[in-house]
Amino acid sequence: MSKPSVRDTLLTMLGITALIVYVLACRPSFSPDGTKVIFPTRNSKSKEASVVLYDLKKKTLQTIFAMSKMSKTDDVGFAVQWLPDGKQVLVNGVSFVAILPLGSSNPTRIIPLEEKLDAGMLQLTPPVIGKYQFIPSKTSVEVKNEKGETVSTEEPVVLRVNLETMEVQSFPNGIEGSFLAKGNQLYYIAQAKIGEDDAYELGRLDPEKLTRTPLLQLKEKDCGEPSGFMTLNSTGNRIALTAKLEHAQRILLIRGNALEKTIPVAEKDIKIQLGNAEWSLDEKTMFVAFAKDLDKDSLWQYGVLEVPLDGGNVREIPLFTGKEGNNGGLVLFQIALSADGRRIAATSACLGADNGIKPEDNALYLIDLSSTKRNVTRIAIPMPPASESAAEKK
Amino acid sequence: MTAFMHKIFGLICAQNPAHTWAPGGELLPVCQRCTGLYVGAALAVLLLFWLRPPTDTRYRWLHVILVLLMTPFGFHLVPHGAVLRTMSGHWFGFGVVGLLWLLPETMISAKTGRPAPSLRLYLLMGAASIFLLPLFSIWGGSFAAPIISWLALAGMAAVSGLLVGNVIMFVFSILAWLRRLAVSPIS
Repeated sequence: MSKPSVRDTLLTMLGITALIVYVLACRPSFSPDGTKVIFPTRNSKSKEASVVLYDLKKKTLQTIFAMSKMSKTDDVGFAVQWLPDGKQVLVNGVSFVAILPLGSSNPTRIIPLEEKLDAGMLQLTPPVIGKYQFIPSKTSVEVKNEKGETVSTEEPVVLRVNLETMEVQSFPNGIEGSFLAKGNQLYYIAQAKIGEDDAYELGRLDPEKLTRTPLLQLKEKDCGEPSGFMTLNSTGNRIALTAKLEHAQRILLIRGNALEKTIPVAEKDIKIQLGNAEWSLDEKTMFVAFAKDLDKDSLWQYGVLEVPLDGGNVREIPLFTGKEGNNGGLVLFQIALSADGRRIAATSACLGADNGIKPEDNALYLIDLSSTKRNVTRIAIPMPPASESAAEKK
Repeated sequence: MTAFMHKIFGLICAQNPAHTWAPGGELLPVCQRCTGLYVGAALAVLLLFWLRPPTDTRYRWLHVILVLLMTPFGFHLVPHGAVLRTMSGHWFGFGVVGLLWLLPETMISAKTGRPAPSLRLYLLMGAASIFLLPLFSIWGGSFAAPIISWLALAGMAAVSGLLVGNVIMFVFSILAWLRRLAVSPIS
């Protein structure tokens, strides 16, 4: 064996150093998603809404964005998310997109939308792929009816918002539904018809050309009426969506372009509604927002269900009680799973007094999934008095 | 297995979904740059074992340049997209493996009696793979996802093996040097 030269030793050290520098630059860092939680709040009386940030380390609450209503008929509500860089927060309102620079040197940017969105369009947070956000919307078009008269009708479009140039493009695509993204893949769920039967279609949307590739069509009479909430697993090859068939709630699991499995969540005689869902990191469990009729004093129990995908017993994690709102209030009560899969965040702050939430229950709820008891930490959020204008608040 | 790979690579890769290939709709367990790095490393090790290019001055310069060429891309000094992200990771992987190969190559006897192939064939195959990998990631479909994932895992294992081997050789060299110091007479 020959002895290694000093030159080769130094070159080897260069290689090792370069590799170490590379790995350190690319390793996961504790992004704000891990140490901070953002969530929207809403005052249904005064029609004011805000975005609050909770710092898990400092245990502090901070309002980072607030807006009063535009008019009495506006229903102000926001969808919020972190941008992939972990330093900016995206806020979607019915008439704007706002980019808040929490950890970056960029300025706050507000992108107005030409046509106001239907608040239901924000039920699923509009997805972001790269520098684009995709928002389902509708636009008014004039068409001729059978009598030859010009009438105004609404046509579904996709708004593609360039978050760097702040340009908004509108593409008619015929998709009346919601979008979801994972990595650089964009998915849609939309209403469809199979013959005379109501159905829904799942498919992929090309982020550049916005062309659709249907994956699967499901008849409502066979699979149930979807709640509108769907979620992708971490690798993007499985979709879960909640649906109701003959008053029984279920989760549909789709793999590729086929229905993989149907998981019953509750019996028909239990009045329960399902909201959005999250996959556990090991993909063995679904966490689902729920609201259940307690059959007493018009009270509904809000919380999180743990649904094992192998058919095991469903576990309820109750959080607070309130009244039934639209869709069981579940549009306004959604859950989020932390990136490390160890914590779920949920808030009652969008439901508010309008939905029977008591002041002591107006809070951010953090569920510790690493504890077998599923310990819940409640961070109280001061509930504004149920007044018509901000001037009455103090 | 997929979940296991995501977990393993999660220790060394940020797995930013916005910067991750998804052939056939399935997200790879590593970002685009790391895909290039680890697949490049796997291919580099294969080519080095098979072709055994001479580790002469040209070889050394080539791999130093491949490593240093990562600097403008790795530190985001130049704007670049997904394809260049993967390509830069790929040639960086080749560079690192080429340098980590030096000590094992000098320590192991290469006298097999077989004439060493030229560096040219090694270069040609390496260059071809730099272009083929991003194309495969984009157009390979669902067929590509498991192949790339396994290659990346093999590359990570290969890099880890080379690192461990080099560290062991360093330790032995230091021990040998200390032994020589201990037995040499004090003058």
